[in-house]
Amino acid sequence: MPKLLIVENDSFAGTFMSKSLDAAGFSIISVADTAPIAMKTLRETSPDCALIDIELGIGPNGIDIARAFRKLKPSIGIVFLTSIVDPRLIDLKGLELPEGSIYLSKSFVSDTSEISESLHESMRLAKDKSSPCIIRYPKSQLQLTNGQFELIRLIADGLSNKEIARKKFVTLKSTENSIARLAKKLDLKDTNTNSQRVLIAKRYFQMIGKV
Amino acid sequence: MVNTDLAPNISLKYWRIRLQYFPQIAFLGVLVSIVSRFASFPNFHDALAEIVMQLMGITLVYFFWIYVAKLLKYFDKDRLSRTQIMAVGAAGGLIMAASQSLFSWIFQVPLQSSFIMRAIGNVVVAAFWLPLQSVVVGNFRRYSRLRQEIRDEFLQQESVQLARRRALEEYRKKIEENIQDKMKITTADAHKLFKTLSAKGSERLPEYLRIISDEYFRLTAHNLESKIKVRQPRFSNLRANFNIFKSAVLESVETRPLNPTWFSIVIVVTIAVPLTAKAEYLLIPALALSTGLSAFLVQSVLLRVFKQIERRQIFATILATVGSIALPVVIAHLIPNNDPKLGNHIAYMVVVITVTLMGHIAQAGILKEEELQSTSVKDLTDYKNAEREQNAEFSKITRDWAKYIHGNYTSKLESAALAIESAIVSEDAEATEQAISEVEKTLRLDSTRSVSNPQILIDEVQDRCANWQGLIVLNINNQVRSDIAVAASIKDVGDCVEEAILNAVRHGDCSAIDIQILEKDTAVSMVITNDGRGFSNKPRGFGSSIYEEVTRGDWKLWRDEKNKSTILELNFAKS
Repeated sequence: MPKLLIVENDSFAGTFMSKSLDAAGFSIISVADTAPIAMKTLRETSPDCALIDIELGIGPNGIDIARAFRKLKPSIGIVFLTSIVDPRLIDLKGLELPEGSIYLSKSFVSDTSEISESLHESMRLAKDKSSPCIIRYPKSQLQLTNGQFELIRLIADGLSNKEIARKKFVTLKSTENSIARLAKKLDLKDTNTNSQRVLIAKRYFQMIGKV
Repeated sequence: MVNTDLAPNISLKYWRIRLQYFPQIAFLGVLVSIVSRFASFPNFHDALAEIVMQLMGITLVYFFWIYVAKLLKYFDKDRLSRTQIMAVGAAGGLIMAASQSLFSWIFQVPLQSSFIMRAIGNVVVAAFWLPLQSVVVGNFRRYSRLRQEIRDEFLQQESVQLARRRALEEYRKKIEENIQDKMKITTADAHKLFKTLSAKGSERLPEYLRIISDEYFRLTAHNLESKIKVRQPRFSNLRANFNIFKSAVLESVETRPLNPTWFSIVIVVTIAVPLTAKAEYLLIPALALSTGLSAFLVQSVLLRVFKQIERRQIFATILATVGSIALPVVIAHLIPNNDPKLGNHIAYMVVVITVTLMGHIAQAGILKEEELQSTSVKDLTDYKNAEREQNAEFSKITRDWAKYIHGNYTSKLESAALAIESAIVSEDAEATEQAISEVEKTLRLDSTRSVSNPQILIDEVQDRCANWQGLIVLNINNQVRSDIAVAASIKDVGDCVEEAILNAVRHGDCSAIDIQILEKDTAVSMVITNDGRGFSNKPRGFGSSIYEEVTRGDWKLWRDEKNKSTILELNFAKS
C-alpha cells in the first residue's frame, strides 16, 4: 500500500481527499497544510508519493515544496492537484515543474480514480528522470499567449500599468496597448479602463478557480 | 479616474451655451435705456420709434450671431478663442450701429448721437456681451450638468467598492447559513451550539467573522482596491472651476435658434409701434404682408432647387411673388397724403424679408433642435439600460466576490462542522467539546493572523521566514533593538525579505540563507547571504525593482566566489 502525503491548506478538501484516497488503497500519512510541516513529515515518514496543492498562501507554493521533496527524496511521485486551470497562470519564473510530476487541474478531474491513477503513474515516472511534467488540464478556449497569461496575472495582482511596464521592461504605452489587446481578446465590452481591470482580474480569479 | 480637468472633455451635444435669453434681456435693456432718456425725446412717437429701431438692431445682431455660430458648426469648428468671440461680438455691435442709422433714415427719426459714437458704444458693449452672457446664463446650467456627470462617474467607481461591501455582508450571512446547513442541525440546535460556543469563550464569534472577512479582503482585494483609487472631484478647486468657465466662454457661440414666440412679439412690435408714429407707416402692415409672401417665394424657390416641393406649390409661389410686388404699390396709392419715398420702402422691405427669412431658417433649426432633444431622450434610455446592465454586472461581481471570500474559510468551518455533527450524532460530549475547540482554534488562529499588523521589524522578518523553514535552513541574526523604526513600511520590508528568499530558492537553488540585521548610522542594514549558485548577470526583475523602491536605491547584490555565496545587502533608512 503506497504511502501518500497530502499537502493542502484547505482542511475540508484535505479531509475529503484523505478519506477518498484511503478508500482507493493509499496509506495516508498526513495532511500537511504548511511547507514546514510538509517537510518535517517527509523527513520523518518518507512517503512514496505526494498530492500537492499549488496555492498555499503567503510563502512557498506547492511547486517550491515539490522541488524540495525531490531534493530530499528523488524517487517520490508527485501529483499537483490545483484549481488553477492553466499552469501559465502561475508565475513560473525560476520554478520549473519537477520532472516526472503530473499537473492535474481540478476542473479536469471528475473522479477520485483519476487522482489515484495519476499518483500510481507519478511513482513510475519518478524513476524516469528525463520525463517532463505531464500537464492535464482542460485546454483553455481562449487562445492567450504566454505574455497575455502573465499580463492577466499581473493585473489581478493589482499592479498598475506603470508597475507592469517596469516589471516587464517595456514602455508604458506598450503595456497600455497590451492591456487593450487582452481586453479585446477576453471580449470585455467595457471601455472604462478601471472597470476593465476589475473584469480582467475577475476573469483571472475564475481561471484559477477562486470564483 | 475621474478627470477634474473638465475643460477638454466637454461634449457640445450636452453643453450648448444658449443665447435664448439675449432678446429678453436686450428688450429690457432697451426699455430701461428709453425710460431713462425719455425726457430727452421731443415726443412720445419719437421715443417709440427709437424703441423700434433698437429692437430691429438687436434682432439683426442676434441673428448675425446665430448664423456665425451655425456657419462655424458647418465648418466643424467647435470652439473659438476668446479674442475671436469678442471680434464676432464687436462685429455685431457695428451691425447694430449701422442698422440704427438705416432705420433712422427709413423712419425719418433723427438720432441722438453720431454714427461714430454709437458704433464705439455698441462695439464695446457687444464685444463683451457674448462672453458675459455665457458666463452669467450658460455656465450655471452647464456646470451643474458637468457636476452630475462627474458624480455619475464617481458613483460608478464607488459601485466597485459597494460590490465588495455587499460581498462582505453576503459572506457573513453564508457563514451563518453554512453552520446550520452543513451541520444539518435544526435552528434550535444551531442556537444551542452558539450558546455552547459562547460558554466556551466564543462570544467574540461575530467579531472573529468580521476579522476573517476583513483579512480576506486585505489579502485578496487589497492590491486591486489600492490601485483603483477613486479621487474625489474637487469642486472647490479654483482652477477646475476656472477651466469650466473658460470653456463656457469659448463655446458661447454655440447657439440655439430664436424662440418663435419672442420672434413673433418682435415682429408685432415692429409693425404696430410705428403705426402710432407717422401716418405713412400705415403702409407697414401691407409691406409686412407682401414681404412675407416674398419670403415664401424665396423659400419655395430654394425648396424647389432642393427638390422638396411639389409642382402645385410653385403656382402658389408665383401668386405670392406677384402679390408681394403689387400690394405695397396699391396700398401706397390708396393712402391719402402719403408721400413715402420709394427708397425707404424698398430698404424696409429688404430688412423685413431678411428678418423673416432668418425666422424661417431659425424655425428649421428648432425642428433640428427637437430632433436632437429626442435623440437625447433615446440616449437617456440607452444610458438607463446600460446602467441596469451595469448594476446586474455589479451584482454578479458581488456574488463572485462573496463566493471567493467565502470559499476558503467555509471549507475550514465545514470540516469542523462535520466533526461536530458526527460528535452530536454519536452523543460524544468529549468529541463535541474537541470539535468546538477546533472551530475556536480555527477562528482564533486566523483572527490572530489577520489582526497582526506587524509594527516590529524583526517580527515581520521572522514571520516571513517561518513559511520557508524546512525547505531551506534559515538563520536570522538580529543585532538591532526591537523598537527600531525605518522610513519604509514594515510590510514593504517584509516583501523585500520574501522576495530575496524566493529568488534565492528559485533562481539560486540554495539550501541555506543567513539573514543578518545590523544597525548603521542612518539605516538598518539587512545582509541576506545564500549558498546558491549565484547569477551570471545582475538580474533584473521584480526583486530589483522592489529593492530599489523600498531602500531608495541603497542596495547591492554581489557574489563572493571565495565562500561560494551570494550576498544581498538592503539598507533601510531609519525614520
